[in-house]
Amino acid sequence: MTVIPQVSRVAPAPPAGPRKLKYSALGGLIFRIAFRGALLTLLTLGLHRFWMTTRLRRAYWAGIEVDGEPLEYDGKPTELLLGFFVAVVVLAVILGGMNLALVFGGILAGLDLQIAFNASLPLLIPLGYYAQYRARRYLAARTRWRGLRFGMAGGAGRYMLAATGHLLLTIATLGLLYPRMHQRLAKFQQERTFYGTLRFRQDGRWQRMMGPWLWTWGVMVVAVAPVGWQGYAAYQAIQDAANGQGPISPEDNEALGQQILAAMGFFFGALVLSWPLRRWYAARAEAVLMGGLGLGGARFASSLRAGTLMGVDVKGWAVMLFAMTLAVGVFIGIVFAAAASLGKVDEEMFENIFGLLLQAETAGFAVAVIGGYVAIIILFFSIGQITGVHWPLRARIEALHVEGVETLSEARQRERDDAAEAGGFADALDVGAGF
Amino acid sequence: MRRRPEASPTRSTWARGSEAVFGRRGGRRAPGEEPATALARYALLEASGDYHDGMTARSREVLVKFGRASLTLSRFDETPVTHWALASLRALDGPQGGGVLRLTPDPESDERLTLRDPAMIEAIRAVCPDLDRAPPLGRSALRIGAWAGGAVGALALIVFVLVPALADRLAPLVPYEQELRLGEAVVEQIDRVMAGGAGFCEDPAGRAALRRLSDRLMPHAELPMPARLQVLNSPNLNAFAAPGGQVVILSGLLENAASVDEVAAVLAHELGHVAARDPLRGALRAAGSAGILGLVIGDVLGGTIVVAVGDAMINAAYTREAEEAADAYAHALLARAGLPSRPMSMFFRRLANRVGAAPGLLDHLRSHPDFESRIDAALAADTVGDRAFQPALTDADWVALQQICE
Repeated sequence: MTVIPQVSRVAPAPPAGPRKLKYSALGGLIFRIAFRGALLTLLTLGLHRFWMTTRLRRAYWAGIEVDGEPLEYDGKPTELLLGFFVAVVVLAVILGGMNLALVFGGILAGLDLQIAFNASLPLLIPLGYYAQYRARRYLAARTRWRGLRFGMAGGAGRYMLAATGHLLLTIATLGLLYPRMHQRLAKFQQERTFYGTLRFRQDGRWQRMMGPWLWTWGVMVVAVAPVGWQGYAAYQAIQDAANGQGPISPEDNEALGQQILAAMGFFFGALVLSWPLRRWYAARAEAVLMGGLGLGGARFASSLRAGTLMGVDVKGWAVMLFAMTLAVGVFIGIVFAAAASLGKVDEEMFENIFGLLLQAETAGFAVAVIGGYVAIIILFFSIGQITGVHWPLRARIEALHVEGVETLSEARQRERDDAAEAGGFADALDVGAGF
Repeated sequence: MRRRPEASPTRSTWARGSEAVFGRRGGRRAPGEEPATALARYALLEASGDYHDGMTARSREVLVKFGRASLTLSRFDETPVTHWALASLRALDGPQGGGVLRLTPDPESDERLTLRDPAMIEAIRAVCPDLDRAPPLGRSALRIGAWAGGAVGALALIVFVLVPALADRLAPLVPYEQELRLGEAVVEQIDRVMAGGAGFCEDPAGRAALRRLSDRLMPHAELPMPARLQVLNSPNLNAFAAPGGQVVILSGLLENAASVDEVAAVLAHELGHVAARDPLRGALRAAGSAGILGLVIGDVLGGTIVVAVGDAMINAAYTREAEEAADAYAHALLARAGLPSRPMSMFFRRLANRVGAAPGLLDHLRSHPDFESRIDAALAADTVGDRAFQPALTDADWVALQQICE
């Protein structure tokens, strides 16, 4: 309010080395938006989710400050809604035709119907990449900083081809070359992204991501191999039984069950053991991909540490576990109390719970149970928004630096990109590009 | 981007501005206070802010003051930069800005102003109650409605017209051998689920009786493929038709039937499905419409339940018409074979008493037409009446058939 008169500062003060990005989104605000949004989404059979998504994005974007000025999300929920309508109709034609053709072909080829049906899932993956690029393009087109728009050039079709190629290569190398795919796809997207008239560059080297990846990959391969082997053995046993070589004897059956159980235990054990390694990889990937990112004369850098990510994980799990235990505990308590008031508590109660729900005389009881269930789903979603998006985002943003941010003032405004279908494909296929 | 002329606001702008000042919330204005004084309270307020002109990424520090129903932005040497009408002013980040207020002169503009001065933020919030108002839907609501209607119509067209039509065209193209192979897999699954994989009932006398029952109906059936009748040991009161002309009767049906003519009627109904190739068409239709509802609801928040119910409803709609057709086929087949269709109505009556009437909502989920109309149709179609007729099987054969699983 008290202003010391001074000459308008057209040119900002000279830079003082790299500047940290600031993350200032408030967890309470995010939680409130998510909770209210989830409730309304349930009540509107999913229609409200476009409004919720827009509010959440506005809050997240406004919480990311670069050189003192927050980002801005200016997408509209109605754009998402319209994009969704378009995408749903197009996808319904594709999905319906594809499933019909696959099942028809499967019958002609004498395949098991379930196998023919499941074959549609791999065919959906390229479509998912296409959708992901389109969604990213919409997000870029609706992001501003200092009033200037970001934007993304077209290329969803080429991205789909490139990504599918990389995926096939990654599968062919049993996952070994995943970091290459990771960096190349990021590069593909980023080098088509603009801030105003300035284009982003990506020259991070995926080879630098290989160290942590080799360790992670090694542990996962060691873990997955016996599972694959056991799965194959079980499949063989079932095939033999189906081919009339006698049903599986109870002893064989039990032994098989134990083997499968052991393999699964091994797998999940390895999943837990590889957790620090996976976080190590994630931190390294962030360092490489952010370190390789440039825009005009500005360069980014991330000092994200695996330990920070693991801390976020642990905190998230703890909060989620605590909240869910509490909520489910309260829920079961209410169910018992309500059932007791109806005089129906006995050991068969849980077997009859659905019968109880359907009885007209216990309508109040049913409402209480369904209400409790809905409340738990909403709570799960809104806490997940904090633990799964807000906290990880904060960890990433607070580790980011930008050098030469003052050179960005040479950027000029770019035209508005309608990005008409607004990520609707990604929404319908559930491959939404974050948030 | 669009710099407003420095001239004073037009009369109409002022009117809108004063409406905003009177606003629904009225800000911190005391009751009865005139709008001019509400604005006058802040007349001397000044603050600095970061201004972005929407054309370049340059940040400019500006001096922000209130003018007549407007916000004036000027350089520190008092050179005016721009001024924004209060009425069309919008906040970017919603009501909670975390100590920052970001403004745009109107929803379409690229210009931005970032304020951090608490007193100035409070003042602007007080005199601009529409700050957080979303632009009215207006014509875009119509457009959304049109698109929603179009999308729903297109989806209905796909699910209820295109997919069934395509399935019906494809079904005759499947060779019998492939259909049989598919049918065998289906029957195997029925065996696993309903009879615990015990296999078919093979009592020789019972098989012979079943063959004779089949011989009684088949000459009149005119099927596109040979039918194969089998009995599974399961207490359920039911029968199925699977692709490839396979008909499976559950032994519970044999035990609970009052007469062999009831079994013949059920069999005739299943042969109706075989004649129309319903099982294959049904499989193709279900494949074509599967997953479409999942797209609409999305995977949010337990939408899976809604999707499952919806899929069941779509499939039920498919099968209801097939069931009616199979009933009509059965009536005609029974008449040609010299058998009454009255036992069919008696069988349905028993089934109805056993199941109980489904409440209204569940009615839409049922794959079969309601019992009352099926009973009426069977009674109306009966060509035998009270006349004597040759039963479908002799008493001895009927007993043998009932004991096929022993």
